[in-house]
Amino acid sequence: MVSQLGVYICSGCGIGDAVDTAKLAAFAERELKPASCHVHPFLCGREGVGLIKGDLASGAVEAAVIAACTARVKTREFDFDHKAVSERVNLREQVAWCQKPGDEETQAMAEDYLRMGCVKARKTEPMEPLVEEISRKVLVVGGGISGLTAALAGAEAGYEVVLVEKQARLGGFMGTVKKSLPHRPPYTEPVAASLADIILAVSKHPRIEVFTSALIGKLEGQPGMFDVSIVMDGREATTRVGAVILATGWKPYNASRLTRLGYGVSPDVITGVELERMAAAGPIVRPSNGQGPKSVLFVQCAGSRDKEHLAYCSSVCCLATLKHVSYIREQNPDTKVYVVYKDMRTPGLYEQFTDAAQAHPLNFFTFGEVAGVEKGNGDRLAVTVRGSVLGEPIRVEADLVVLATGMVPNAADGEAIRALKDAEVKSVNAESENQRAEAARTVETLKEHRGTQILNLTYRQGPDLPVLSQGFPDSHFVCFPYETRRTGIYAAGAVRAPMDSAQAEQDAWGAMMKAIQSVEMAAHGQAVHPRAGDLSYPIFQLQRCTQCKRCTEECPFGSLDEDEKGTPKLNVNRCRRCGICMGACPERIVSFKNYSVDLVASMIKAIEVPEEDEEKPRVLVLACENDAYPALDAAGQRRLQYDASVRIIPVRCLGSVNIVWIADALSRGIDGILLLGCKMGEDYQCHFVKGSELAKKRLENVSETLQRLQLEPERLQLAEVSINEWGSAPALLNSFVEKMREIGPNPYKGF
Amino acid sequence: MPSVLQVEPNPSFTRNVIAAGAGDLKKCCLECGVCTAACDLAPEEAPFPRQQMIYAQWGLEEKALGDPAIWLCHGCGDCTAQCPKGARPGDVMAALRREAIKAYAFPRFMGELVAKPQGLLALLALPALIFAAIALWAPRGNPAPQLEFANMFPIPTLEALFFTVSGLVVVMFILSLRRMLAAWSRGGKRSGILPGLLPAFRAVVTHERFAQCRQGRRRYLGHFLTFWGFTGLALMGTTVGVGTMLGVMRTPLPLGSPFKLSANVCAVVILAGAVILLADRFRDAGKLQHSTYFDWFFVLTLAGVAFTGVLSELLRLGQIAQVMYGVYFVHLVLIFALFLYAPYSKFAHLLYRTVAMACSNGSGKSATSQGSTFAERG
Amino acid sequence: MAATTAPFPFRGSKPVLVIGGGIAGMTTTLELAEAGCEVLLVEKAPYLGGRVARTSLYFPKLCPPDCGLEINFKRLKTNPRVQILNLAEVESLSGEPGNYEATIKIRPRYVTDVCTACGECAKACPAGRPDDFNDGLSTTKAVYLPYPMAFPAQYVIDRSACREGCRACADACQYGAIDLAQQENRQTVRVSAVVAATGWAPYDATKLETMGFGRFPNVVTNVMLERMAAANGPTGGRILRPSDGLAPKSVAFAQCAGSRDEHHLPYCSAVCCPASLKHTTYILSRYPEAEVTVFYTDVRAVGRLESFFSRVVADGRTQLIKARISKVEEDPVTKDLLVSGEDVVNRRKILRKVSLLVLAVGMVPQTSGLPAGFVKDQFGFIQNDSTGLFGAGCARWPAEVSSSVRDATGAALRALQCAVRSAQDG
Repeated sequence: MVSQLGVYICSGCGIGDAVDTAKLAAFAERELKPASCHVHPFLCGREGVGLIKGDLASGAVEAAVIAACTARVKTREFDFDHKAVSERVNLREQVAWCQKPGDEETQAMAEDYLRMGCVKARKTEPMEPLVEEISRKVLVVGGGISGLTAALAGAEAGYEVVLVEKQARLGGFMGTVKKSLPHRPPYTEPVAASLADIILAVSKHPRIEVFTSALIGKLEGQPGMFDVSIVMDGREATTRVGAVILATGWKPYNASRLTRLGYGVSPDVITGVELERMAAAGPIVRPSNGQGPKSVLFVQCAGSRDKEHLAYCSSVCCLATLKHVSYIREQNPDTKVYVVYKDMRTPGLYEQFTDAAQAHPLNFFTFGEVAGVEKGNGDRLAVTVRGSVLGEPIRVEADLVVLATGMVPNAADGEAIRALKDAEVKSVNAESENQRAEAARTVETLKEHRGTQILNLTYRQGPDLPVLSQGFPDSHFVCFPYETRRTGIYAAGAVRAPMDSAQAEQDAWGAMMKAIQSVEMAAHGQAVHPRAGDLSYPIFQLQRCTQCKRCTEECPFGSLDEDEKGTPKLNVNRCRRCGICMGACPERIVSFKNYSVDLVASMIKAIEVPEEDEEKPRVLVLACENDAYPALDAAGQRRLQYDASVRIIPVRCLGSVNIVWIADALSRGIDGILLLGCKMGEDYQCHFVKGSELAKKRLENVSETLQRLQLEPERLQLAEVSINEWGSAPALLNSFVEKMREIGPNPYKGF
Repeated sequence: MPSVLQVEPNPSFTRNVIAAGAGDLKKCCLECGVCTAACDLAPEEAPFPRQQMIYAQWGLEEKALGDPAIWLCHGCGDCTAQCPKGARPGDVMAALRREAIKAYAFPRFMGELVAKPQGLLALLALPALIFAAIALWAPRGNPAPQLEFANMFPIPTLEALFFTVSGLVVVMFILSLRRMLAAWSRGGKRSGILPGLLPAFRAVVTHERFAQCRQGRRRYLGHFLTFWGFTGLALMGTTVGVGTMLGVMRTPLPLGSPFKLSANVCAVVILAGAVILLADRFRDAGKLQHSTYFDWFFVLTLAGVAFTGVLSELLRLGQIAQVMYGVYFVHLVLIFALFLYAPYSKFAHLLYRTVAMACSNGSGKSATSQGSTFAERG
Repeated sequence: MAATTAPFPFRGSKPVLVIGGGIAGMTTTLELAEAGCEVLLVEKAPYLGGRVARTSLYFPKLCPPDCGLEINFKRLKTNPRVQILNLAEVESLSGEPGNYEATIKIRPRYVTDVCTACGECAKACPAGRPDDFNDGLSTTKAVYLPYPMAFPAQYVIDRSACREGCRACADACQYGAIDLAQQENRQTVRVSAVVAATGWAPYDATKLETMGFGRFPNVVTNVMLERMAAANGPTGGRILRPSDGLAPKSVAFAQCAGSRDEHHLPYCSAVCCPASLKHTTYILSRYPEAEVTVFYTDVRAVGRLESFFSRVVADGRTQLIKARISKVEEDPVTKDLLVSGEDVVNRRKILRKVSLLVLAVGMVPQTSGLPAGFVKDQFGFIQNDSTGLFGAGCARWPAEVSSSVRDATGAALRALQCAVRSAQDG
């Protein structure tokens, strides 16, 4: 609890024109009892900043409350030693620039914000980074091209690496191919796939420890302190690592489901992967008679871009086929080659590869759809194609038909596995018959997840990375592609998204960079993305915990484990500091040094609520600090005006909103509460995954309570505001305030 | 599913087409259709040349050669200029026309002979010998007072010869055309010709289609002049020939004679046209159209006929004995080659294109695309 | 095997130089800095964010890039290991991996960092200039904030637009932030590695003779449409016909405009297909009744983008025709456009009248201005063969944002290796 406050009010940038800063200072002196209080016309200038620094240095002031512009600007100017608390009060963008100048309501707004800022400053404790001894070693799971590349890249950067490969040999799929795609100029001919060098480099590297024919027995802990047990034929080795890279690659789509295309019906219908193996081992022959084919037909998108099979595009099949065509050319220049495609997907510089392949007189490319593969003349196969380039359906005879099948990630869905386990238990010992039946159905739908564990995490939320969609544990964020929901664990290569070997290499470099970064940040007690560098962390007062498990279930990052009783155990380096646990906890036992239930509640209580007869409503706005809050700043920046009765408090995430705040606000006589959060649903924008969704769920529960209290549920509203919606945000606020005016004042005013 | 096309590519056909001047035939065609859209002559439905490109790429000989559409193309190079992959569809269409003339020629060996430079010597030797023989042994009346070609090449003999040749050519044309029409029917591309014939003629005489090509405007002019000059001369020649045979005329006609005058005009027109065409080919240097022996043979023979014709007339008027007979000899040889080999040389396009136009009109497809109606404004 | 707590391996290393402050450059910078490495970020524009800052929404999520930028800017503001130079370009480069010397030219901004972005200067400024941020579709004052959420939030003066001897801005600024006497200056720095994330520029559509861009006002490019759709764009997010400012009734997208074309860009830019699919949602969200047609050669919505593609198809309002637009003409009266191509699936010529035509132009790597030493391919894309000079993002390979960010993160580690070596060499 800070006692010595310094209040510094800036009158520049039009603040002084809109707000009577002298009056504001007088108010501060009178009510907030600061140790030091100044109004300055140019606070972010050298003199103004010097003033604050001086007070802090002299010890006259422990915490500086800077009532000026939004905290999103002049960050470095107002950045003091992290041991000193400094709190920004947004008088510029969210008062002066969006309110009537000289109006008493504007003044009242400024006073409220200043009061709230001071309360926050008093209740904020200086940050002490939690630094523990961490391991900088990185565990790489999977010894294919991604795993090898990651391992070598990390080791070359000075980090120790443990590489675990399930098979007896390193190299994975790319270790078995004849050539790889032309990913270097002139991009026209497949290039030699030389994994030998990298395998040698990895095996010989002093900082890399390789385990082959090995699996992960158990992986527990957190970034900087993962304890992994590696199991190889009976033996078990354990080591401590700082971060993990999942590079377990892919497997070809199960072609036996493609009998429609003749697979399994004729021996001469094979998959691209089978052709690749054949080519790597020796000549390409027809399985039926061991002879070289005189004509080959490739079927693209075999079981891909198809709701019945793989809905997605594996992005490499077109390229792989072009490569296979070149193998056939090499072997016999006179072979006729047909390629039937939906769209020729050879993006980027690979376009040159398509050009080169199409130029050969005996390569025939046609768009179209394969209607069927049946027996043709002699021992040949006859393929019928609808909608071909020839303008009519065609029937082509070929000795060999190759199905370009897609990629399926070698991933496990941690959450599904956990859900399966829970359901299995429930299906036996749930109280009601229905619950048991319901659970049994869940078990049925999830059964294919049984025994698919790879990482064998001891996490409460499941033993592997959660998958995003279509089985890939990929990031949801366009601009943060390595984000996973398991801090310090990064997926790389074809397990994360379908990609070619060149992309997989790039991906491996990136994943290792993130792994290194996560250990370094853990080493300094800092949070990783999106609150990168945050030194705060949640503190649990477990003596008051009722083991309700809400926090452990709702944490989007699986940071919390449970003991057998269900008491949460925080793994601080897994934590992203979103505060969702704080929002979830009905006992309010979770708090950060600079963000807590009590702290925000006190800020709310600091809002002066006018008497009912004054007809001045008050509306509390809890705004997501990353999207809604900047949007409101932008509105101010454009001088868009909105109602003076709103009081905005930025929150780390709507998920961190504890419903007690709502109760507090209403009991204080606040007329309405508006929660502004990110878009939810399939394309959610919440960087803490489901913050606004959770908030919505919690509000639904609250609205019942409201009715019991004879309060209109309309007093409570959640709206989605994305950062670029500054244009419509003021209208949103105004209409909400209007609604409150219609409903009339909160009956609890003055209680 | 509708009728299914059995596809068995014939690589040797593709090779022939490439040899016939479509060197970039297989240059990574994208199936983008820019060529077809670029062509203002291509019809709305089943437009060319993309489809024919594909037929050629896939080595589907019957499909490619038996498609009248290859004749509707005037080879202006609009498509070649725009093809994003430089596959030169215009050259492919030209090559297909060459191959078609060869493939349906009657007798076949003549097609082969005319198509290849190796045949040139033989092709010229034949008329050379014939006219040499005439010069040496043909029975002639008592020579005219002043120098006249008739003194060396008696008119009756020449007439006899040329009427026979023309007859022969007509027969060969008919036989070759029947083969081609048969191919069109096999490809289901044949439709009533007679109904479309009149508009086709109009199109030919007015060159209205040619006028729609955006690239190669010069080529259009050259072709127009050559066509009319040639037609004119052919008419004059025939009239005068018939006239002398009936004895109502006597060559050489006096310079003042309307026939003589118009014949001379036509000759000059052909020359002008031919010069423009040649100049265009040289200027273009294969950018829009790739020139082959097949083109040169036809263009040069035609130009040669006109040139030697005018020259020999001048020499005659100048009474320059030493060279005038020689030049006239060459003139005769070229006329002979031009006519006798017409069904096998590029000359044949005159017939095939006209019939193809008639056919496409007959099929009710508007051969001028809607696109072209905006082309002028474009 | 005991836990190892090796010391921070690159303490005392030389900084890494990152050229280009777009999404890729920012990413390389941040990933390095947050791992503990010093970084110098050099950007030639007066703001960071590059092309992404000028993008309205990302595909496939249709979320605003500002959201990710807000996070990245916050990371940059609060990270002590990042030094940013705007209006700066690397002039020359010498040395070897682990130890380069770079000369950086910094153009004057004429506004110092005491600027509070209050905007008084712009109010006072009498002169205007075409707004390059909006592809010239609008104008700004000669003293301007590149865009509302620009980072740094600091005005800049385009002296070429100023009136002779005018000091209106300087007089209006209460904070003495305006320094019209600023001069161009040079800095020489020692760095361990250089990452070029100089990004891309759209292919010059005026070179596409048959497409009518520049001649017909209602032919626009995909990047222009992006600005029109942006809330902070020239039309405040309304997509209107340039010729008459009316709502387009029908919109056509010409894919591969100058791409996959040996006369222009022989390669495929990989993003134009998903971008145009996204643009169809821009149109339909504003004009649900509009007729939208995409003329494509191949729809290259690879990987998971396939589901975005199928979403657009399922919506049913966008017509996809396998055809390449080869000719564009203008109706001189209505200024509508007549686009022609061949529907190659149905073997039919197409002639469509549309009120707005969007050319999906490709990416040209911006690597020609780089100092010598970078290995490039035949198109100018950087190859990561050399050991100390790397490319990242679209300067290395044409790709969408997500791939570029991945690429940039990988490039960060390549640079980090050099930094580590430079630390070991001392």
